[in-house]
Amino acid sequence: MPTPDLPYDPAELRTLALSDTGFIFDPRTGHSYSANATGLATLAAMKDGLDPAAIATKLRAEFKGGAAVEDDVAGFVDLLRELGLVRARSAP
Amino acid sequence: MSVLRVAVSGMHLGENCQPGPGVVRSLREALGDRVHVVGLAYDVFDSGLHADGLLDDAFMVPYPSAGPAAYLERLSQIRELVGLDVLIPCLDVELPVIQRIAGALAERGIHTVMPSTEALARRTKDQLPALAAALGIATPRTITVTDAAGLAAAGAELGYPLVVKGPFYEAEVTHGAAEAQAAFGKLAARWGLPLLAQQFVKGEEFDVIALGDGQGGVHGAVAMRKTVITKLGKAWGAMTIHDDELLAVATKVISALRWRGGCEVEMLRAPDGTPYLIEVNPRFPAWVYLATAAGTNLPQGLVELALGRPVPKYPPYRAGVFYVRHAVEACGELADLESLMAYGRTRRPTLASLPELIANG
Repeated sequence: MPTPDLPYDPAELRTLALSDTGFIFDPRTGHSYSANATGLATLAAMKDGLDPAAIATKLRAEFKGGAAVEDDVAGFVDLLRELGLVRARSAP
Repeated sequence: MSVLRVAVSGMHLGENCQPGPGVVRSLREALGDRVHVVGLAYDVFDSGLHADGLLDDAFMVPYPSAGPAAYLERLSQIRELVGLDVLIPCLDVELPVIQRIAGALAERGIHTVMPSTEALARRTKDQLPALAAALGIATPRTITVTDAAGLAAAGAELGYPLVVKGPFYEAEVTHGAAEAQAAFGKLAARWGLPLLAQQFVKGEEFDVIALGDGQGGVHGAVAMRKTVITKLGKAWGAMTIHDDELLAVATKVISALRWRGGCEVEMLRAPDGTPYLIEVNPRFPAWVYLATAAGTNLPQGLVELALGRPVPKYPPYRAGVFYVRHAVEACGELADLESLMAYGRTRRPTLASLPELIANG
């Protein structure tokens, strides 16, 4: 199902291979990355189609996050765009 | 158990690695002791001649410039000595010669898989822009140059950096007119004229290896991204990827050429995502074994094609399989050189050796 209200397309992330170790592999380009636990949880939530606010709530519940979690999620999405893992998509 | 006898050329793994050893490794993986591999070499120091466990036998052959008759005679001699069922040429310069003798080889029971003369001509470096344009595929602008004035004019038109390319091999990225002229002199002396001046496109380098059926279809194809690139632009390391767009471009090219046999389609992906066609190489590349490791053994398919048998359907290959080259010293004895020089064949127990003759008085 298309999710036009998200600032990213979860379908673009579905081919990514995520390991519990934090190792991430993009089979389309052959590039690999490593993420810490919060990065990995954010990516997994994005793949599942959660919006940034829901991801922030999830991260707060799972980790001891402060007030800036929304900003951190937004920054992480920007980083994924810079890496070409998600394409630019304007927020609603 | 019948043993297939396959001759493979391009046996040197040096600064510019040749495909022969990767082809042999793939055949051994598929056929085990049901294949007897005969290496064909042009230089007694071709590294594959001296690598442990690679070849069952090997022979020196004349350079393709000696002409089709000399090549056919030598292959016929080798067939008389050891028997040959299939020949897999792995060097670009061999193809025009082997094309001319393919019929005579078949009469002798030596089977080959060759692209058509037209297909071979349409993918040369100077013809590639026309092919790409006909297929609607992006390719860097290219101008054929025969002298210094032409190169200067090309530099002015295409700008710098400018890629100066030899007609068959080698390319240099130059950053100004003086550097371009120096590269022109060097490449012209080595490869002759004309050379090519090509627009520089910045981007990541990708290759697709494939086996064409000669009818416009592709038996199998594997895409990779270069991860380690030498000063000569060769992939010293790479990783298989699943990129449908690159595979589609390669398939389009192979289909248009009705390519028969192994080939490699080289591409660049510009920062805006556009794939640019850079080259179509008319044989398997040196990294052919990466495709085998990822689950697509194309040399095995080529042997089946050569023998007129159906090529097995390849399952999807795995992305994320990588290689990094590991250079080792392949050592030999004086008697090995002597045998290659005196008999044109790797050392056999039955051949007298000079050191032994000296030792025995």
